[in-house]
Order: sequence, then structure tokens, then C-alpha cells
Amino acid sequence: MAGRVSRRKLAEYAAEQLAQNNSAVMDEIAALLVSEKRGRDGDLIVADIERDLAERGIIVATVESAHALSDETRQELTQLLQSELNPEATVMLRELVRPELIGGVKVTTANGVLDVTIAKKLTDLRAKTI
Amino acid sequence: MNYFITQFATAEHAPKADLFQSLGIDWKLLALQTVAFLLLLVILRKWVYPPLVAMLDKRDADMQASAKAAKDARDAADAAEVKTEEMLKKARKEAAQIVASARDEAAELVDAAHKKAADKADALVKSAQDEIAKEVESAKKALHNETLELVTSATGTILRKKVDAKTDEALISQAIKEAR
Repeated sequence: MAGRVSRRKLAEYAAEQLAQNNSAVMDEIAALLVSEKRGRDGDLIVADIERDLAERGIIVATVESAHALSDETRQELTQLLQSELNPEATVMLRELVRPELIGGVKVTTANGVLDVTIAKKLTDLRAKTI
Repeated sequence: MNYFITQFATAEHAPKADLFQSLGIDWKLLALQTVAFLLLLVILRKWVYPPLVAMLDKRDADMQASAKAAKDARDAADAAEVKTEEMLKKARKEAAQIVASARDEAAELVDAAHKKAADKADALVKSAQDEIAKEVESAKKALHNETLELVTSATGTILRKKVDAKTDEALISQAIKEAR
């Protein structure tokens, strides 16, 4: 039986396939993780894939907000990510609507997190308890 | 005895009878009485006076010894009285010193007790003040935290109602501008 494929190699393979618009590779990766009982590595592999994609000029960003984003907001976020990370990169936004954020936006990329939600501000305020 | 005395008197002194008779003195009787007296004297001196004198001397010696003993006893009593007086005087002096010392010690003890009580009272007051300060600080912290929680909750509740999609869009746009 073949040994386990390392997380790094899986990420490289998946990033290459996704760059070629082969989105089915994610199903394959998921099946492999399940068969090898490596479900806990899922988030790590996704982060590795996003890092690889960023190196290939594709920025994958998870955008969480309380309301659905408008086109103008998407455009502004894309410009922000390009100006901060890679002006020539292609930006792919993965949008999540979470009403509990109340307002603002949280952008997560392979390089970091930008959290300017109202929920974060309230949490920071609560953290000031003595 | 009478016969013997009469015979002796009649045999020796007949020629001098007239002189002695004129004076009314019987010289024979006188001689016999003189002899008797001398005999008595000898007897007394030999057998009576010595023991009597010895007894008297002994009695005198005893009396002197008694007197001396009495005198010695008086002297001893006087000396004892003087010594007793001195001891009493010394004892009174020592007692006075002990009393004075005890008074001083009692005064020191009272002062020490006062000081200790005062120190303890001060410590209690300070402890109470520290306790109160701690409780005030704790109350302030609790108030701060409760106020914070109330403000946060109220803010969240109000914002959930007030922030609609349009307001949110403006917020996000502003945040993006600030992030650049």
C-alpha cells in the first residue's frame, strides 16, 4: 500500500488543478482525507492550497459580512487585496453571510486576516473588563 | 557535868574570893564559863563555822552567778532587741523598695497594655480601611465590567436594529478606505 501523501504535496497538486479551473480536485482531496482518516488536516490543507495559489497569482479570500456584498463592495475589496498583496493577481472572493457580525467585514487570506466587523469591536470592548 | 564543873571550881581559886565576891563575880564560875565559851568557840569554829561559811560563800557565789547570768541575759536581750530593730528597719526598707518597684512595674505594664491596645486599635482601623478600600476597588471593577457589558449589549442590540444593508455597505467602504 502506498504511503501517505504529504500535506504540502497535496496542496501543490490541488493549487495546480484549480489554477487550471479543475474544481473537481477538491472532491478528490476530500475523499482522500476521509479514506486516510485525516479529516483534521482539512483546514490546514485549504490554507496550504490558498498559499500555493497566492504564489501562482491567485488570491483566494474568504469574506464574511452581516449582509450580502454589493458589486461595489466586491470591487473595492478586490482592489484592496491587489494593492496589498499582488497588483497582478486574480482575486477570488468566497463570501459568507453571518448576521451575528452585525456590520463591517472580515477578510481572511492565506497571508492574514482583516477584521473590521462591529462584532469584533464589541468583543474588543468586552475584553477591556478588569 | 555539874559535878565536874563544881569540883574544879572549888579546888583552885579560894584565896581570891573576896575581890571577886565584892564585885559579885564568881571567878570559878567565870573560868568555867570562859573555858566553856572557848570550847564552844573551838567547836563552832571547827565544825559549825566552816560549813556555814562555805554554805554562805556558796550562796553568795550562786547569787553572784545568778546576777551575772541575769545581767548577761539582759545584755543578750538588749542586743537581740537592737538586732531585731535593725532587721525590722531593714525589712521595712526592703518592703518599701519592693512596693515602689512593684508600683513602677505596674505602671509600666499599664502603659504597655495601653500602647498595645492603641496599636491593636490602629491596626484594626487600618485593616478595616484597607478592607474597605479593597471592597471599593472591587465594587468599582464590578461596576466597570457590568457597565461595559451593558453598553456592549445595548450597543449590539441597537446596532443590529439600525445597521441595514445600505448602512453596512457604507461601513465596509469606510473600513476599506481606512485599511489602505
